[in-house]
Amino acid sequence: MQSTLDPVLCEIVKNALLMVAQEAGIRAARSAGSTFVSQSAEVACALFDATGRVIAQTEVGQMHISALRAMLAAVREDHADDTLRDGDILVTNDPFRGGIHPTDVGAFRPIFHEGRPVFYCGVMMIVSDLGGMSAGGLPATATECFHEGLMIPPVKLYDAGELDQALSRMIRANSRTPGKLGADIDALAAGGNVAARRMGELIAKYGFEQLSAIVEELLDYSERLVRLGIAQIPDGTYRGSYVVEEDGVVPDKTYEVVVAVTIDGSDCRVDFTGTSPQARGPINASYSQSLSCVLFALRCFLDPDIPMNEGFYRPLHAHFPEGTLVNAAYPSACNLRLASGQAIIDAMFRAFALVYPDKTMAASATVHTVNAHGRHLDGKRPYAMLDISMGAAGGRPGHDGVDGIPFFFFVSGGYDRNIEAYEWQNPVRYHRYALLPDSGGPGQWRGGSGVIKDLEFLTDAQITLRATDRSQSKPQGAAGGHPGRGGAWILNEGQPGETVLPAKATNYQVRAGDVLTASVPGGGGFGEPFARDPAKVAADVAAGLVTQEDAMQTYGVFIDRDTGAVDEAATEALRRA
Amino acid sequence: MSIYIGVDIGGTFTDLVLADDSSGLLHNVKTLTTPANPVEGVMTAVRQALEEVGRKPGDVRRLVHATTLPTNLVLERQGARVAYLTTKGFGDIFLLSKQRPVGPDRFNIFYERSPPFVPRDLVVEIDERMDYRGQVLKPLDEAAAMAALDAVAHKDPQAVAICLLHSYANPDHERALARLVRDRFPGMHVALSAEVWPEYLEYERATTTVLSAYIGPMLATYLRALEAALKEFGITCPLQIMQSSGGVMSAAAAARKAAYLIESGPAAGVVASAHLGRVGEFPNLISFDMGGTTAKAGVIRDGVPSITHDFRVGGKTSSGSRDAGEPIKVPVVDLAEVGAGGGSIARVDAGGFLQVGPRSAGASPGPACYGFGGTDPTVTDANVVLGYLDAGYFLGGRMQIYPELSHAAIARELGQKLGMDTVAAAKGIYDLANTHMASAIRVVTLQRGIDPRDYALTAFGGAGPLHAVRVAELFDIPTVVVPPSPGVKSAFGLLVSDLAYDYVATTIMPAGAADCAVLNAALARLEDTGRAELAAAGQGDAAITIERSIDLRFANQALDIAIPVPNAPMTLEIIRQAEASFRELYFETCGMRPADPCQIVNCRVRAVGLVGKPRLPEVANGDGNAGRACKTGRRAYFAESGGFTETKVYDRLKLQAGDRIAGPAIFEEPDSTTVCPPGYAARVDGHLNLIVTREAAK
Repeated sequence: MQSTLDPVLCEIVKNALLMVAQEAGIRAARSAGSTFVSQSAEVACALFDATGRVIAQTEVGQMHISALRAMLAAVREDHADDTLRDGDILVTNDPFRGGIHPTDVGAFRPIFHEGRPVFYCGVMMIVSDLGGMSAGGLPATATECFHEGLMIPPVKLYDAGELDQALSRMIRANSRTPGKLGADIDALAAGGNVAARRMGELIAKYGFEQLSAIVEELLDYSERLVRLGIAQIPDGTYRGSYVVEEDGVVPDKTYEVVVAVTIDGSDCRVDFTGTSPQARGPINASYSQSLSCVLFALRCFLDPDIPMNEGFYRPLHAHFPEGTLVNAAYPSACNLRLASGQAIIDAMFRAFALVYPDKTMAASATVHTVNAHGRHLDGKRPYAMLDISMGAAGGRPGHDGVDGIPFFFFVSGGYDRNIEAYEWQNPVRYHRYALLPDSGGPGQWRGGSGVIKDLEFLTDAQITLRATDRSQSKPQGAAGGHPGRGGAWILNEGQPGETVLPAKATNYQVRAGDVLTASVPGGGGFGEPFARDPAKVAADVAAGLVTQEDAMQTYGVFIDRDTGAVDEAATEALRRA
Repeated sequence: MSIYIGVDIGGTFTDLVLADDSSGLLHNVKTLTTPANPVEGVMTAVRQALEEVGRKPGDVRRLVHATTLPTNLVLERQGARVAYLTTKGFGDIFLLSKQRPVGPDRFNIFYERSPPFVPRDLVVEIDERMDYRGQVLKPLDEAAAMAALDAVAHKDPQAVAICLLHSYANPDHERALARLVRDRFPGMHVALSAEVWPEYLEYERATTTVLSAYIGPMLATYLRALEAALKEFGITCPLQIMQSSGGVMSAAAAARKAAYLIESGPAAGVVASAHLGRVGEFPNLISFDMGGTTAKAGVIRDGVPSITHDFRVGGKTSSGSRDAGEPIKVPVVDLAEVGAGGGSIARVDAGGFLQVGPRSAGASPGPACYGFGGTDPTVTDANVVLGYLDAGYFLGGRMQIYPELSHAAIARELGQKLGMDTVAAAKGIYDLANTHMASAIRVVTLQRGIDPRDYALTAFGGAGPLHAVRVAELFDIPTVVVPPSPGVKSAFGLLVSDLAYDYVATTIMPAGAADCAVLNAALARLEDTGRAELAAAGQGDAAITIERSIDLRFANQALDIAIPVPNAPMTLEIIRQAEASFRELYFETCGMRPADPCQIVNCRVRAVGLVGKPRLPEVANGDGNAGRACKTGRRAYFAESGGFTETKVYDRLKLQAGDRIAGPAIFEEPDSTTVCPPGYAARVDGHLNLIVTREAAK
């Protein structure tokens, strides 16, 4: 197993490649037009060798981790090496050829050495708007990819550094925000150009032959570490499943993601046979999206520092039956794919919990989004905004769930986007952005508290609501823990004309002065609520995260209203009853 | 007849540098830090220094201090019990939080955020609301506010932080609340966001304000005690404190704006480099500071340090992207930090690769060669094996080290596992540590659109000069400058610092149709405040300069850049020129030229009080015979010479201006060692800096 190459040089090059990917990702994020992206620090970027094997990848972009690799395969299929020129940028967003949904666009830059492409850089981001039936390209009730935005097969946007004006105009003409979209796509290209420059420097420094040999060793290195980690998991087949609620199109129908994880020595097979057929609505996941989710779940049980490259994939054998929720067929809608994606993660966590009952977590909430578009107070200038609420994480043995952010989205904070920026840019006013009391699933380890937002529209607007999942079905508890509180969209709560809106709605018309209350679910609890340390319940009551009533009824803890202290005798009586 | 003193309290040592204006001499003192009573440590050092140079307390004309107290209060969560007052509906801001997992924590099922600085039961929601233009949507309900203050009184807060939505546009409600708080809690430490840092974006404004309240009371107590002790000792000049920005403020202002001090110590080091940039041959410098556990890199352009407004308290800054920790907006010198220092531990990972850091052996048990029982090989051990560090002259000979323990640790933990001999493994540690440090330099240069080859690298910290030339080599940086006494350089930075107060006002408007009257009013108000604070700092001789800038961004983007503007009434023409500079800078950093219109986001004013500095005259060239300083020779490892090579070792304290020495050579002084490899030459300039450059190929 030991390599013949200098292990010091390998480590140095490993770090150098990661820095290249990171720099390209930062460069792309900095100049993005989409507020959503530019408020984040970095977008996903990966480097590949001449045959499309991933050799380095940024830390960020969990969602996009496998998509870049799968999309590059499609790019290379359509564009033979001898048709590529230095300075080319190829773009695509086809969910059925490696992509995720049309609004996630990938850009690829071949990197040349001695007249032929020897490496590729891929950069990916969610762009501001690429058409489709609602602003932002996230229609909650879409049934086909055509509803979600312009489909772009792998095409050359830049030919030897020259922008294809016709194509660029064509793409912009399909956007509600052509300026922002143009900046987004330029930003992807800028990232690729930075990577090409830096890779050129590395080739010059180490020589292409030596660099290629080191890359080979880096892939073997990741494979070695992944195999070491998998080999430590007891052999066997472990099954798990998680339910997905209705798709926004077909009422009252639920779905299920089913997985069998087989550990066989240092190999891991993941088979999703038994998963529900794909939905009509947009809750389906594309192949690459599902693969990203599988990788994420697996990495939680391996050494977290293993570099993500082709070697990582070698011991993993994933089967996603075509035409199911986890590998939807053309031309299904996929923008709410995190419904299935997070079910993949929870199904795998449940499978692994059979081996590691102490290293698991109850179900988390999923992301909830509000897209709004309309006009500013002047009645003229158009605006479009995307508001995101994260929901909360599930409880874990020994730890409460994290408030206000679900596990998969840990990479973002709960308050990443400032209210003041939203009120400057859009004719909206927030009245509340807070944790919701009693929303965290009760348990010995409480689920994270969900979130509540009150959002007033100052002008008439069309809103698209995406409660991704678990709004009605609720994030489930584990080991006797209770589910988190579900979600809801309520218009003008407590006012005459109060309206409960569906979990998934596209282009719903609101009027100036309407207030939307968004309740985003709390995480599931872990363990029996009566087993919770009364002092922790008292602390939750003091913090306003659990009400006195819930403390008594659900946790069996009696708290003195005046002192805030636990009444031990009364608590014991309550818990015995 | 004036004495200038800079005192820098670090984790282990308190460093003091004293400058005697009449003789032009510098004097260094190093004492152990006394964490239980830092005043005592400072006073011990001050007394010792004055005694050693035979001067009186009354001779001290300026005393500047850098302190790790704010950082320690934050890291150890020992700050004040803060009550936080905010707009109704938004009290959970710190529980919702911008913190997120980074690195391996992304896959950590048991990840926990660090808890907020204000517990939820000390958050008070106030019924009031402004809009973004500062119009009152809901008046402040003073009676309800008083009742809320009553309700929180039994929690016994030690400080109060106030941050209301859109208070940058209209501070009236915050001011009214502050009055109520002061009535209700006489003597209470109160921090208002409208005074601490009135920039739009509530999360960062709130964290900056809360941190000021969290640190403020303890810092005020400490500074008062220090001032009293200095006065009692007979030092009557005002006490001044280094801020994270590299500017200095009065002790009174520091207590009010404590969040400005979070990187006080590291900033002092960069100020020393900036001084070098101003008086030396190289105005553009990369500052490279390597200590026991981390290395930090910063950039000096034309003698001015780069500043960031995206600092995260308690986070890491190594990745170059926004990272874990709480963001604050006050100016902080732009430093990238990596976990590679002398104490960083080397190991072989499960995949068979060599790793260095971020785990450090610290001071105890320390590197294997210390003989304190440490068995892990460290970067220092590699330097010992390679012959760069001398066992007989560690810390100037004050500490005994054991090279055989370094050899044994590297052979046992690395050599056998990697299938390499001990020297090759040591060289591996050394090389890998260098590339880690290079990644910090990459963040502040290449990622910011700066070509490092246009810069010289200046190395300080105990370990910096051991690695500097090899780190510079990785970027083709042509020149390395090692100042004298690199181990106490931060304290020297304090001596050459100026007073500086930074202010911001948010004035969002289209650049193409800017309202110059609004901008002029904002800039004038900031300037007036600055002049008043400078006057209050008690440095009567300071010459005041005002630096103004406006933040610009593309209307579709979030990235804003501060562009300097002249000290003249704003006109559309000035804004046009600023916009052109912005577009050029944007192209340099992002490589794109968007056609979008620009927006003005903020106005900034920095009020600088240029303070009289100690005269440090250049020394004349000596006899040019460097042989006087050559004390011995030893074998040191240089790959280009085929391995261990006989290398002359010089006593740096005996070098004179004008000396030139060809590599390979090693320069030793009590607090540091500089390595000059073969193919390089070192010369000594009039400030006794060691300047190492590559020799022309023969």
